[in-house]
Amino acid sequence: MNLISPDKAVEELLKRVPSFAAARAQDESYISHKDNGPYLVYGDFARFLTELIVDKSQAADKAEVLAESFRLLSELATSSNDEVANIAVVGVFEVLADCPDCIVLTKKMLSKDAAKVLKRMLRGWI
Amino acid sequence: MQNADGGVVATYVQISIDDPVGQFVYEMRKAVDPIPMATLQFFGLSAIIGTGGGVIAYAAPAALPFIPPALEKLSVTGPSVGITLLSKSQNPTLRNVINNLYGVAAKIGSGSTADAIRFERATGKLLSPSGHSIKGRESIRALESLIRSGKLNPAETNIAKFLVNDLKDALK
Repeated sequence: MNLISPDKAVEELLKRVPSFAAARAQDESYISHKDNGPYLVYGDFARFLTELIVDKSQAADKAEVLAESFRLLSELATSSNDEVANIAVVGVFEVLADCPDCIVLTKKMLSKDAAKVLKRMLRGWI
Repeated sequence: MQNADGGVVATYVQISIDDPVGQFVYEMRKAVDPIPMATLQFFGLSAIIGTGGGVIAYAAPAALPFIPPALEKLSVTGPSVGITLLSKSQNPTLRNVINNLYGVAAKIGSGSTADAIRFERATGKLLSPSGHSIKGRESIRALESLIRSGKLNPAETNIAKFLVNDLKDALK
C-alpha cells in the first residue's frame, strides 16, 4: 500500500533524502532552489542521483543515500495514484535514462515492480 | 548495497566501474559538443540562434520516420537539438532546465517535453502514467523566473524564451 499523495511527494523526498534537501537549499543552480513544483524538485533529484552514481568518490553515506532514494522511487513508481507514479517516471526515470550507468544501477536498485515501470518507460510506455 | 526489495545489488566499486563503456560514452557526451553538431548536419538540420527570434530548427522530414504523419506540430528536429542548446548555454540553471526538457533517449520528436506534450494531445495516448503537461507548466514557470532574474546573457535569454514559447505552443 502506498500512502504518498501528489502534494506530499516533495515533502517526503526532502525528509527521506536529507542530503538532497541540503544540496538543493545551498545550490542556486538547482531549478527548484526557490520553487517546490514536484517535477522541478524531482528533476533536480534526478540530477543529484546522476552525479552521485557517476561520482567515483566513495562517500561514507553513498550506499545509504542511494538505497533510500530508490526505495522512495519504488514507492512512487508503483503508486496506484497515476499522478504520483508520473512524478517518478517523468520527473526522474526519463532523466536517468540519458545516463547509461544510471539506468544499469536503477534497474538493480528499484523494487521488482518498480523496475517493470522503468522498463515500460524505456520501451516508450505506449 | 541493497535494492528496494532488500536484495544485494552492488558494492561501491561495482557502482563506479560497473560499465566502463557506458561511463565513457556518458563522459564523452558531457564533454564534447561538435559530435552532436555533426549529427545535426548529417540529418540536414540547422539551428539558428537569433537575437530576437529565438531558435529556429529545420529538419529533413525523413530524419524521424517513426512520427505519425498527423502530428504536424511535432518539431522533428532530432535528439541532438537539446545538446546543441546546451552547447550555447553557460548558465548552470538554464543547462539544468535544458537537461530536464530534452531526453537523448526519448523517442518522440526532438525528445523534448514539448514534443511529448504535443504527441499526447494529438493522439490522446499518454507517454507516462499521467502525461507531461504538468512538467511543461512547471518548466515554463521556472524559465520565466530565470529570465526575470537577469542572470542570463542575451543568447541564453533567447534560448530560454524559445523553450518557453515551445512549451506554451505545445500546451495551447
